[in-house]
Amino acid sequence: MSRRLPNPAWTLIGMVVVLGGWQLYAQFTNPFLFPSLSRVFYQLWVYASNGILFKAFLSTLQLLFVGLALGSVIGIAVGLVIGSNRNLSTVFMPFVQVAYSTPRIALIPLVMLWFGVGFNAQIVLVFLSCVFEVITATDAGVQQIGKQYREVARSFRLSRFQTFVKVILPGSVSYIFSGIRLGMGSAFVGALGAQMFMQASGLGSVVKQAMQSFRTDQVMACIITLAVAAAILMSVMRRTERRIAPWRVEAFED
Amino acid sequence: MERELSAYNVAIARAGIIILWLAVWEVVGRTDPMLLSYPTAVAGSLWSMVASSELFGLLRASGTIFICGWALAVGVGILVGGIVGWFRPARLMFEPFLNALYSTPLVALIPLMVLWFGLGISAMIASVTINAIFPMIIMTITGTRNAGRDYLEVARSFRLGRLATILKVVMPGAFPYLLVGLRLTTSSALRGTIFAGFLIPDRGIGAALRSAGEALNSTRLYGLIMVVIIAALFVDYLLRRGISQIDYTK
Amino acid sequence: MQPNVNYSSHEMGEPAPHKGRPKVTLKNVMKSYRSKAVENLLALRDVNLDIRAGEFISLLGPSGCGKTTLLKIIAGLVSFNEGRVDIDQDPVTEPSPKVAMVFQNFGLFPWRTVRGNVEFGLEANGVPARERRQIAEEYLELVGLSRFAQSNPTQLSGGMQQRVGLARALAVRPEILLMDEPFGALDAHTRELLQFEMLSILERTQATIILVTHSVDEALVLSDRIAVFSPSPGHITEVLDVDLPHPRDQAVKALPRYTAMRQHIWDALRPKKEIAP
Repeated sequence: MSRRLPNPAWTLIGMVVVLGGWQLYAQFTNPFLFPSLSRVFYQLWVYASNGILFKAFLSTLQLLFVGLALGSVIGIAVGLVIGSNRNLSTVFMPFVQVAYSTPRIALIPLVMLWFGVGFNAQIVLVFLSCVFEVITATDAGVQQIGKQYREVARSFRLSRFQTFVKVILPGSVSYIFSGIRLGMGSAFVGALGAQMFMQASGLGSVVKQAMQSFRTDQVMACIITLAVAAAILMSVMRRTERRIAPWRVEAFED
Repeated sequence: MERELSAYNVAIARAGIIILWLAVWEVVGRTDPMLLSYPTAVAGSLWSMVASSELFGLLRASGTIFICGWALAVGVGILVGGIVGWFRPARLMFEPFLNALYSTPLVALIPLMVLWFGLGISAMIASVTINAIFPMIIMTITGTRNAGRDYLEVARSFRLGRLATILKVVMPGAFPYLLVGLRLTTSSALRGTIFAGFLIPDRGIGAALRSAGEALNSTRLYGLIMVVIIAALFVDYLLRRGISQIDYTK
Repeated sequence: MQPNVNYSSHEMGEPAPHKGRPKVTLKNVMKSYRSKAVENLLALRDVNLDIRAGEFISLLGPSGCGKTTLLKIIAGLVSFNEGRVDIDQDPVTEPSPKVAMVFQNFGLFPWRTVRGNVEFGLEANGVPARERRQIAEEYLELVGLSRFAQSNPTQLSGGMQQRVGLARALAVRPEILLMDEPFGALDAHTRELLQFEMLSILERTQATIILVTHSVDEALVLSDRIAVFSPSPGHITEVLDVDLPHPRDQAVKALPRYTAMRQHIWDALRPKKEIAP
């Protein structure tokens, strides 16, 4: 069957197929709709060389980072408080879930109305995009760890404070990290949305400009940049988690 | 540890929170009605939207787009994911690309859809589809792969044919993963619908939100946001009901 | 050695010489649960037992008979509705400092090293770091895991993890050691090995040991006495003296006395069939 070829060979073939297919298709269609690979990469090069790419990239990254950090800190704090008390959790989590289910993008006009279009407004949006993810994951972690180690902690007569610091906190770390990872995806979308619709620099506005100028090649160049950015961020996230919390708590995860 | 609240008390607590929030909003809102508005005004605005069947129009426009995009994403996603997940060469060839695309903020693809499809309804449906399809593909790949790995030997030991294996073993086996994909797809589709509405002027909720914001009409804006929240909850509810009907793991 | 008094479920409240005063007394203990399905689920019914200091007693019974519940009541982790539970004549209201517990699913913390886990109880009791480390290493040596002090517990096999759990419990030098089906999560082979290993480890301690198990063999091999439970609602039907010779090893299973006791217990555990007259 296909067992002959080793994995890397197939991946290479895949790259050839996709890129080659793209180039081929580009030959036969409207170059405006579907730019050839060379055009896209040329455009990337143009972006990179006149500094637009770097500045935009940095701007988006900065917005993402600040919003995500804020969302994580507050999300973890709220999640820890809510998760530690079963009654609080039961009463409040549905509200968090409602917030989680609504597309935060829909709040852009509201954020603009309240906070204007400056950097702070954008941060608010990014914050809202990710905070509920972090709260949910942290709450789940605290509750799960609490349940799993409750008897062990009590049998050693740990005070509530000791239990929290020595058991619940370290145990919840992997849950918190997966919450932040989830939040990062949403935050990225929020950052892009914010930069598109509020007066901003950054990759969001670059994409919007490209769209308004009908420059498909530019839009594609942006998409590639974003894909690379996302991949880098994810890998950084994973590496950080491995350094800080290399253990995995052996529990069933929903 | 702490005594657990009864279900009754919990409901009271939640209702209390909502009532408190509405009351505070009403009082504080009246001090700055331009910016904050207040519940009674918002309710009034919503009511007039219902009465003039404007709300119906909004929901129909956005709903159509959402459902079409969602259905395409699920259908095509499962198909593509199934094929890629089943055939090892296909998986090795395409999975890296799919993973890369999945992790990008997919709303970035919406401007591309606008350039490809113009400013009409097809662009909107395409936007929703492209946003929602990747979670489905990825989860279907994972599900097919895992189901194959876990159950293939069983199927072969019973000498099941190819088609029977796929239908009776792999698809049900992949089901839990498909469910997760379905949830992700649905939330992505919701997001795509609203986002596309911001970029493409149509008769849906996204466009209405945008214009209300631009007109600084806070009352109408809050009303529309309520509509979005309720719509999202409704979709969530439908999804859960639908899933519980066909879920065999519970 | 131990006074020649036969404490059975029937003889209670007799003033005994100081040496023989029971370490743990259970008197008319009743425990019921409010569950969603049943109005009042009776878990334990009128449990009476005196546990002597330094003995190894097993609570033996089928699944669901309440023996684990009783263990957790002694541990102070679970409340009870009626009766008295005393440790050294003091009523149990919360986990006592004299008690340490070994759990069926180990309950080890994956975010600490093996040594960190063993130190855990000492840390909770405020033992200073250097002393903690020394004690932990002592007990790691006792259970034969010194080499793995810096390893992550998830890297160890089930049997090794349980030994860490045992070391952790012993490190706080408890007067009473409670073990909740400690070998339940292990395969049969590991279980047998660990049983005999544990005997030799526990030989060094003076602690009173209470073991919950559903395995008749395990109870016979390890304990001095066995309290046999009826199925739910749990009630002690019989308390047996296991008069098999020490030290216990594989050979003990071949003794006729062993087989006889085993048969007796199996009969005791079988559900009583009511034959209508």
